[in-house]
Amino acid sequence: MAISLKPSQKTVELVELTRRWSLDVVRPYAREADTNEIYPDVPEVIEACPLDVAPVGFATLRDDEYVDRAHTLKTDIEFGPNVLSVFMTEPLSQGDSWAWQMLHGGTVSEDFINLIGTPEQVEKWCTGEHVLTAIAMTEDQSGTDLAGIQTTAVRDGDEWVLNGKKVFISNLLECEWIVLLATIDPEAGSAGVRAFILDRDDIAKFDVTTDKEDKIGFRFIRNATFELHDIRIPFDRCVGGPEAPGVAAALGVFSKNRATCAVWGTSIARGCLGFTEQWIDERAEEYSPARLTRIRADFAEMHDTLDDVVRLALKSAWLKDRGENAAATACEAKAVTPKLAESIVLRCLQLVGAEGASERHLLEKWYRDIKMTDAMLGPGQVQRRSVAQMLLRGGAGR
Amino acid sequence: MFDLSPTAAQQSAVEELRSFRPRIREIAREVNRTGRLPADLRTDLSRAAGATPEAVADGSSVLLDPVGLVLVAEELAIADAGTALEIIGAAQAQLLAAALGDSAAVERVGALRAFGDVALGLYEGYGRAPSEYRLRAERQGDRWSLAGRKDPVSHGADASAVLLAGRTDDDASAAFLVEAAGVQVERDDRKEGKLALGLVASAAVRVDGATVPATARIGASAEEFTVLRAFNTQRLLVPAVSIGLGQAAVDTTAEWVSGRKVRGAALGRNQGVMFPLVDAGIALSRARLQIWDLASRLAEFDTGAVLERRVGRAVAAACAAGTQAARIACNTMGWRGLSQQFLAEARYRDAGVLSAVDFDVLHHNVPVIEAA
Repeated sequence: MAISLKPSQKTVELVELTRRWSLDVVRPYAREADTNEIYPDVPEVIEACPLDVAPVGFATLRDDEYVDRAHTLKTDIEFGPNVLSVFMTEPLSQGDSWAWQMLHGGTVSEDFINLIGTPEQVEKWCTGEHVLTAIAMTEDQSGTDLAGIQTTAVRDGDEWVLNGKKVFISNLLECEWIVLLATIDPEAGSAGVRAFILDRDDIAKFDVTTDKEDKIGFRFIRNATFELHDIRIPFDRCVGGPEAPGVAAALGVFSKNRATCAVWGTSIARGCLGFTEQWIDERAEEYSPARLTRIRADFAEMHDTLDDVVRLALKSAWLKDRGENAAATACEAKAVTPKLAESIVLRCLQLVGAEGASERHLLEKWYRDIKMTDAMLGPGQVQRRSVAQMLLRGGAGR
Repeated sequence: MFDLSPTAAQQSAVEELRSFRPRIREIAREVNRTGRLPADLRTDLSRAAGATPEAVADGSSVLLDPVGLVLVAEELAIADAGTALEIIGAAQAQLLAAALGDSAAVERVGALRAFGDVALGLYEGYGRAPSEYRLRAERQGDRWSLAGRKDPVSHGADASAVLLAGRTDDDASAAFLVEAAGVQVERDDRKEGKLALGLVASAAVRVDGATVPATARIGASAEEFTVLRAFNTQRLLVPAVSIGLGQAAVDTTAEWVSGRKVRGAALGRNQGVMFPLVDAGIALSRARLQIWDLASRLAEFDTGAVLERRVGRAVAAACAAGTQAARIACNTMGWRGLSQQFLAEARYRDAGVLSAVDFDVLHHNVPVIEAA
């Protein structure tokens, strides 16, 4: 053992392949994805991805499953799957973000089932052909605070009866099945919350009040608001069963996802930098030597700053791979990255000038998209609050 | 391959040094006031840190690996920044000789250390990286004539010899071992006093055409990049110490606010109090990982310019994080943060000195921009 933050050569090669895929194959459909507010219907783009699985899904792969189309088994990875996940998320959105969510394991619903589901549930819902899935957690009154969930699940014989309302749910109308969080004991706070699996037939019975939230960015992801009125599902759809320790035990997926979400932001910013560097290079003669020198120094500093925050995410992933508490570091990465990434995208927009704000280019889209990464899994204030609590308990720091 | 685990030797050194933390903290204010570290403690810490002449000479010192140097420096600085600089600083000239592959010089410097400190004259102030050092060595027959100024130099005024980093007349980086008699002391901080870090006997020294034999050049056969890398490696001590003192500031302040009651509730329940502390901790984490990454791949940079930009940036980030943490600690503790009953104000002063030692305007934003 010795401290090293270098990826293996194999990882470097896979990162570059993935980066090229994102730039060359994904980016050409970025404007279409934004304008039509839906994933473009181009399965060949997904088939061309060097990865078999979205990086956020690496950790829950079985040992005999592949992480990429070159057939690298999970067990072939020189370091843990969470570290690989961070390395591989970095190139994924440099072309644009729309495509990677279509990859297998792109949402945390499979993670929930893999982590706390019964073997039968894992077999039924998490194996076989890839389908798009979703997760319904957020509620109007409490956001993503588990303890505040008011959607109820009441047992009635061999069924569960669900009532409540969920907001801002991604991919509801496109997914094949959804994991929905509801409480079986409203007095018990987060301890009463369980996860339930609902299939397309169940989703068809939802009272969808908004099928597509109008929002600033990531418009290719449709977010729905819906109500549940006496929706009945079979008893075996409770993930892990009602006696399982509850979904709080599976919330570790979010500490992992905070790190990858942070790197999602650096990936967008890195793509912006690449675009803008090329734009400036093509017009280098239009700048005074002093300004060109300053701009190039700024580019170097912005790349290095992104490296700084990616290291925080890598540390969190490394701790997770070792079975150690990664929550504080994950929150640290998520706390600082969106603001930095936003400032970099803004600087790119400024460097290109008024033309950068035009829909002729994608910069204006990325400026809108990057804002989304702050709110996802909790904005900076929420992350700082979590770190503060851990710091007071002596659970944060080095 | 990616791994954040230290080697067994590094881990062992860090853990042993940690066991000294309470004692070092207990006497930190006193040793930095008097400038004297108890002899038994100096011996124990030097051994545990791998800073003895014997450990450097026989290759067993963890400080020979740049990662080991930053880990040990941070751990010691969590106890006291002055102690960290004093213990590791004493070995730096010999470590530099080792990095230049000059085993005879390692022995020579090691032998000299038996009679007193061998100082390392590295910094020149005013934002100069090693490739820009203005201390010049001019070849005169079989001797070298040296001219230039170094500031600060630990034990520059009382060392038995000084290892001076500079450049030759054919613009190569080089190091020269000069006896104390050949060096003029321009400023002795022990006599004049200084803001903090009183344990470190810093000074500014000058050589004005002193001539030394050709054998005074250490690592004469080393390639240019090897010499630059060796100089830049020793620059990692200051940022590692900054991170350590900053971490101490964050940890002790967090402990304090969790016990301090204000209007019936722990002060730490106030987000306005905690968020700046959290941000200070995050800045330290970023700086630490940056310096670990840098230390573990110093040999990989293909040009001196890239290497120096990386080191300069790491120094700036670590010193900024250290000063930020020390400043927030003072603010959070109110009057107690300013009182000499506590170490918060001492860390604030230490951080100020450290951030000035290797300051480079190229790597720092104008402070009014950040403050605004």
